[in-house]
Amino acid sequence: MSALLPSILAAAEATHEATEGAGGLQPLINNFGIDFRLILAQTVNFILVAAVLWKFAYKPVLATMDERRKKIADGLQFAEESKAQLAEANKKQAQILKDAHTEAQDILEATRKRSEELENRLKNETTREIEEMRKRAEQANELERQRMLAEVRQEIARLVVLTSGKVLKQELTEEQRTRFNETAVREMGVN
Amino acid sequence: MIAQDRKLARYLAEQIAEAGEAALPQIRPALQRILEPRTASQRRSFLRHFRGYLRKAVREREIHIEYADQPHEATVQQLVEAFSRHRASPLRPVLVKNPELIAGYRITIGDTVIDGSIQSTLNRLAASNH
Repeated sequence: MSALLPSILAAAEATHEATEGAGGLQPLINNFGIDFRLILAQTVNFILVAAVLWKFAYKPVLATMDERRKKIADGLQFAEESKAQLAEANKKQAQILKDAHTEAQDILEATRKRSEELENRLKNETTREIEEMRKRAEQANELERQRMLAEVRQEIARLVVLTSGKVLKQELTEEQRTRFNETAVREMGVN
Repeated sequence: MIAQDRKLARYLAEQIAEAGEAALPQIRPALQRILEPRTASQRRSFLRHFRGYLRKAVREREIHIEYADQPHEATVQQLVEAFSRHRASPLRPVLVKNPELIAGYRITIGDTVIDGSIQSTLNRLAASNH
């Protein structure tokens, strides 16, 4: 690079001198072999080629690129939306799971309460029925006891009467019988 | 059986019970006149009621005196007179021995029973314990 710099400077200086010495741009143009007609023709050709290319290549390519860009943008947007939807769905799912869990807990709690109530009710009913059965049994026992006592009393009384009758039949004297007969007649309203 | 026939059967039974066998010559033709125009079933019905009324009328004119020891005649007379006065109709005494009474008497007139025996006293005592 440092070797090239002096030679370039020398060429530039020579060119400047040649230009000033020839008296204008014509010699320089001639030295470089520039042909304005050729340049014009090439320019026209270039414009024509550029126009054709613009018409038939560049525009469809641009359209395709736009389309691709749009598709990519749509895809990205769709991905973003999908991501958002997924996040939303996850959120909803989490909420649903949370609600379901809460509801399950509520149901479980309600069921537990109901089962406790049912258990208590059954326990109370069973206790009450047992108590009633016990009372009925006691009443039945008492009635049976009273009936037996009455029967015993009745039997004792019958035996007492029987024995008394037999004793009186044998032990009553004639005088006592006569006195009782007289008393009986008096009590019947006679005399 | 119609009510009139019942009244008739009762009247005849009471007449027989009142007058005894002396009333039979008058009652028998009356009975025949009553029964003749009736059918066999009507006669049976009439006679069944007549017998019932007759039994009742006779029973109501008798005083059954049950005893354990034979009562004196004076005692029987006292009882008959007292109950005849009470019922305002003469009663015929019927004496029945019943050693189960132990002592005292049991008087029965028709459906009425007056028990003044030791046995009834003991029975009342036994019943009062129930």
